[in-house]
Amino acid sequence: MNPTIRSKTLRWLVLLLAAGGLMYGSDQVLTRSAQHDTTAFGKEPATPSPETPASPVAETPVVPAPQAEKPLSNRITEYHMSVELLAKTKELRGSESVSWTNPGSQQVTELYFHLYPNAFESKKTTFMRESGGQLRSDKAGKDSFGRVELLTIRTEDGNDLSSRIRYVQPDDGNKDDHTLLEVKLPKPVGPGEKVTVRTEFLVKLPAVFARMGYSGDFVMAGQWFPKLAAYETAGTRGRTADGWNLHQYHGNSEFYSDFGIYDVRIKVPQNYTVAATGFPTRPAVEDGKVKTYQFYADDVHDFGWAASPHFQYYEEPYSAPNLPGVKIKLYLDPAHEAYKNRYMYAAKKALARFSSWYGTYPYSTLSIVVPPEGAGGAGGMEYPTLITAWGATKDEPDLELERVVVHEIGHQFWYGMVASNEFEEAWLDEGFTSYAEDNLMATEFGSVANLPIQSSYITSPAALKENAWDYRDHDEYADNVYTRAKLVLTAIEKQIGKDQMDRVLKTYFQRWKFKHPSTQDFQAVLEDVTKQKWDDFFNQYVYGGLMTDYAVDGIRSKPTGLSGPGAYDNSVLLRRYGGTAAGVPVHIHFADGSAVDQVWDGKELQTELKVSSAAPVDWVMIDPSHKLVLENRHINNFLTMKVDPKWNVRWNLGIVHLIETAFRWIAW
Amino acid sequence: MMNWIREGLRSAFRQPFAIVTLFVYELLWGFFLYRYIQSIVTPLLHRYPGSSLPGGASHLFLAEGQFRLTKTDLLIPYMWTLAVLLIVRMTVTPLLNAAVYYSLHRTDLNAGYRFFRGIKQLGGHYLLYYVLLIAFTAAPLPWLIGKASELYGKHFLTGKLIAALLPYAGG
Repeated sequence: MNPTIRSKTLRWLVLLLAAGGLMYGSDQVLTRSAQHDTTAFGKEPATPSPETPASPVAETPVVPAPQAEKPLSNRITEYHMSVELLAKTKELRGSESVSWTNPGSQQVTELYFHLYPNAFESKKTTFMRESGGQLRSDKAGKDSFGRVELLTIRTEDGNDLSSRIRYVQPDDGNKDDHTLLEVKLPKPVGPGEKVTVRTEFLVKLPAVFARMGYSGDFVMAGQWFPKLAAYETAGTRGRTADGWNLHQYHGNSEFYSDFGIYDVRIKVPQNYTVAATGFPTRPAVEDGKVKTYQFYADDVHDFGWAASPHFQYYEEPYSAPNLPGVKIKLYLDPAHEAYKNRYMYAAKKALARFSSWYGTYPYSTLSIVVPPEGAGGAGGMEYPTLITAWGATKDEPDLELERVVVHEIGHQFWYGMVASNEFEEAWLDEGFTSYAEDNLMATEFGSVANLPIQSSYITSPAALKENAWDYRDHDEYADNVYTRAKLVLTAIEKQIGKDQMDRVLKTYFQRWKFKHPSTQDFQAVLEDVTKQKWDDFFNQYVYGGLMTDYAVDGIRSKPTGLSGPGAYDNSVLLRRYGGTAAGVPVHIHFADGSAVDQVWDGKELQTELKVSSAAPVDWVMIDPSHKLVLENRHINNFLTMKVDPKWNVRWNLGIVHLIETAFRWIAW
Repeated sequence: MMNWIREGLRSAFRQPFAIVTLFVYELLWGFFLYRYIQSIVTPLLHRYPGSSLPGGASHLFLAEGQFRLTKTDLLIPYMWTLAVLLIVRMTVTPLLNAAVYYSLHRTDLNAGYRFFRGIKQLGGHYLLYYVLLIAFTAAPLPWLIGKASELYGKHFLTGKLIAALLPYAGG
């Protein structure tokens, strides 16, 4: 980051110089090299300021300043794009020049592009088949079809590549799925060499129900351009040889790409406002009909933008310890104008805390888009330096307003910077972000998660390192990669303590930011920091789909004929039906009101605790204070000897009568 | 009015075999159904922590119970058992109807004989009548099930499902 500019005069001087430089260089923007970009458009200067109340201000140009530091990421992709929103036909007409530098040690003869909008091409695409045309509670309607048409595809020197392309379906062979495109290159790209491909494309936007599309005149452009697949070198995520990581767009899956540079010109009708990844390199230019924005972002792996004529725009500079300076930009649907301070407050708290817990948020902007009510499908989504909140409903929002902002900002760290593979290991971003969200909501908003209930909610536990589409359905995917993954991290925290867990996450973030870690890489960090092996735990709860499930399965109390403390010999039968936990607390309660606490190591499949007492055992409860975070069957944690006979008869007779009454409607 | 009641009772007392058979039939059903329900409910009551225990244990019991019932197929074997019981009773119903009506009509025959003779002679007719009766009774069911599942989606989380379904159940 650049040093802070405090002096007002100096700030104006820099502004003028930079603006002049930009105007001069803007015409050549599409042909610049990555190195040139790096020096011409540095990060927006940090502008630390105290928290000030949000106030509507005009969108101002960012002040790029020279940046001589080493890039944060390997920047192996470089996109120069120009796109125009055709508001009437709900289309995006774009052109793209994308360069890719071979990071490996092998020659590469083909490139692969994700054409994500083709997921909405028909009901037969893999996305639509798997999701049934539904994401979360948003369903596809009759207008929810869309696609991307590749108009031209050429090499840098103009050779037509259209005869060298074909759609591939590596995951399921579904020929009706056109979300992944192979391009055979005329000549191989050697290690360290660069290749550039130019395309023109037309995106027909779907009515939004799954992240991208339109709702009225609101447009969410996420995964909208032909986007290079991720190329993994040997050693990345346990790979033994260099190669592309290729997957189609699935019902239960998000994305995975390489870091790079994005330089994007966006044209919209004059009355629209655009929110986008990165920062504007110059003020929007208006010609009476069309407004043209120019955005730039580096060290990011995606570029999303949203546009609407109704956005109310607010911005605030913000800094905190370990957060040198960021401009928070809020694009608000008018229905939520009254809540602008809540959005800002949540964003500030999230940025400050996460930067202090894990590491600095290094980008100069963070944009928050609040979509209109009908565009819920676009809500609750993360893109680098841009997030979407829930659709602005008319009811007064509860803490979910803050929660979604916190969650998506968490993704800037666990997805944006620590860029795990969301196709194959979704828990590494969703689980980590949910864990971070819980901690922040407890620290800043006093909203403590009810972990026992959330654990009970896991009725279909499955392995966490699993292809997103291999889960049975969306519920099983969401329950596992969000909730169970978070519980697994919390269980680790309970074992090693909060301080050590903080060190684990900070080390993991610092070691893997701007890279692509795997589950094994996280385990290695955990083992390095805690200096112990975690294979057993990971095999059961991460690579395996276990929860802990300890049960009290029997109580026996036998009078000994003696009196006093030895009057009864009691035995309590405990069984383990799930994974192991380190120490299972057992509370044994006696009929005279006394009680004894014991701890079972919980390793064997069953054990019998023997206790002598003055009175027979009354009831037994495993883990009364819910220390076993992964215990998901609390009902069998408890067994009582006494059942109120009155209630026993009432329940039995009541249910029998209910069934009899129903039967008698139609049968003797 | 009293004459009709008296006449009714008198003709009932003239059916000792049918009365004893139906009594035993009801007794057996009642006994086995009670034992079946008891085998499910009593173990659950032994797992219910009651409100005197700390940490919202009962609340957790109910929430977990709800998740298990709504998110897993835990209920399915129980529903199958009840469905088989109902089908058995539905099969027996037209036969019992045939036996009782025949017995009421043919008091000249031996009580036990006329009961079985009724099943033999009229069983098929009553079965046909019963199938038609059930078909007409169940005709609105597909519409009601559609409505219930729609309301289930809408009201399940707000806890107003029963209230929303009541008018349809009453209808």
